[in-house]
Amino acid sequence: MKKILQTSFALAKAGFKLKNEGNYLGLLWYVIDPLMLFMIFVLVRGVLGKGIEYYPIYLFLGLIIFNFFRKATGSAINSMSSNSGLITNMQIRQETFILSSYFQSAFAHIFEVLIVVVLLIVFKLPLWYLLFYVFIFFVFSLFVLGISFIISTIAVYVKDLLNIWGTFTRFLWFATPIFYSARLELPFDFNKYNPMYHFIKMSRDVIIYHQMPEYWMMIASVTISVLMFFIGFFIFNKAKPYFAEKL
Amino acid sequence: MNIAISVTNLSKQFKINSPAKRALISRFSNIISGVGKRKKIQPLKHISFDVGKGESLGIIGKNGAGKTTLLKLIAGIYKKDSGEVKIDGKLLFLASLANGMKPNLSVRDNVFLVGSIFGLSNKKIKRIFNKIIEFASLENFTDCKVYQLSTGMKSRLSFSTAIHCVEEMNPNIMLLDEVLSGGGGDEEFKEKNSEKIKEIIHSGKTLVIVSHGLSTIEKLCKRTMWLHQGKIMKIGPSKEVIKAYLEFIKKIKAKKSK
Repeated sequence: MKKILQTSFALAKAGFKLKNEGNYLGLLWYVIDPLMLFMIFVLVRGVLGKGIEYYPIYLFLGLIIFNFFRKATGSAINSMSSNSGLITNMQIRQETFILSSYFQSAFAHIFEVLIVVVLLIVFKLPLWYLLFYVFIFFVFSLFVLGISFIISTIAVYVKDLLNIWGTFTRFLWFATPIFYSARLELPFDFNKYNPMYHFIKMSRDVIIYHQMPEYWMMIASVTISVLMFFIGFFIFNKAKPYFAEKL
Repeated sequence: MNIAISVTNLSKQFKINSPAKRALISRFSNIISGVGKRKKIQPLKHISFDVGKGESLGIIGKNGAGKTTLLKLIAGIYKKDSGEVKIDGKLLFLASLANGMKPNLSVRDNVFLVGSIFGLSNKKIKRIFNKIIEFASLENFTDCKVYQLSTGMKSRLSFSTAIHCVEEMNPNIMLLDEVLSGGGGDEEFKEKNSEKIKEIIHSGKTLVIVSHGLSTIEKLCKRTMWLHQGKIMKIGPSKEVIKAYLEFIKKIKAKKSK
């Protein structure tokens, strides 16, 4: 276990370095992307963000939490085929690559959270509520890892998923109240069945509005995340002995 | 005698895409789906053999005879269909030596990356880092990007990294798939690395060596196994097996020229 963590951490570090290699703006690129989107939506806030308290933080939290989900799963789904050389030629545990995509996205997420800190200071909100986010992020991580295990397994057999997943996450991005109010009237209550909504809602409640999230929401997200993680891990472990010959 | 690797009745089957004759409809659907008809091939058929502790066994055979598949099955990279593989000791499978290098990272980062892919901790890599660089004689290039190195330097670096990582891991059993050819590099380096290989090999390890270099096999292995189309044609003293193999190849050539 320790070995897997070490190796995946080293791979993530290398990936992290590679991403910024030769860029003039380097590490800044990690935050420029969400910041640009943030700017756009702040500019049109009159249309979309009506009646939302602390809209910029509301928006940015939603953006970065979803961004983490999109990045982590997006690179995990590719991780088996893009590391096929190592998987087929070395005795390396396949989980390593899932974990390393998770770590890489988590590093980037830390930078984004730093901007949240800046925003909180600008809006004169207390910072220490961010500590609760550590717990939410831990639960969320289990959820993301579970999904990563499942989709990366399927992607070995059905390459089409690589394309489907991109479209799916884009759809989910619009379906989740990231830049608009969660109170928007929709034809049916999709939010209830959307895990992303719950994670984002809980984080906003705690960090911005200093409210304890509803109990059922906390219990449900912990249960679903733990379940997802173990189901994903189980499926991945069942399938992984065959990866080397399928890649 | 103590047995390090014991293989009994091992078989493996692959399903591969085949470009065989196809009906019009399936050919048409193939344009859309990209997934062709599947064909089964069996690279290994009921293989049994033992390797004793400290022994070195050579494996020879034509391309596609199942040599690499056999090693990967023993190493657990492929899952076996049937049969049994018993291993006593720490096993290392080594195929290409250039694995995992990222051209856009520095020499230093690459050594650490490859080291951790081999499963070594940062501490251990730090300990052997200087040895690796010195052996590859890249002392002045540790902060260069790997793509900026010459081809020879690159192969020296990857060879040196791999061989020192292997030394640090200190496995009892090594499965070597075409790694003894030594890679690029100049004559001086070739000599140095073949000595290094000998040093590691002669420290009482169990070896299974796949190679097309018959003279290497004859030099290093007392016993050799000849695989042909997934079956053992002959196993025994290296000289005899290699002789039989060469005769077989001659026969095929003669047939073809007719």
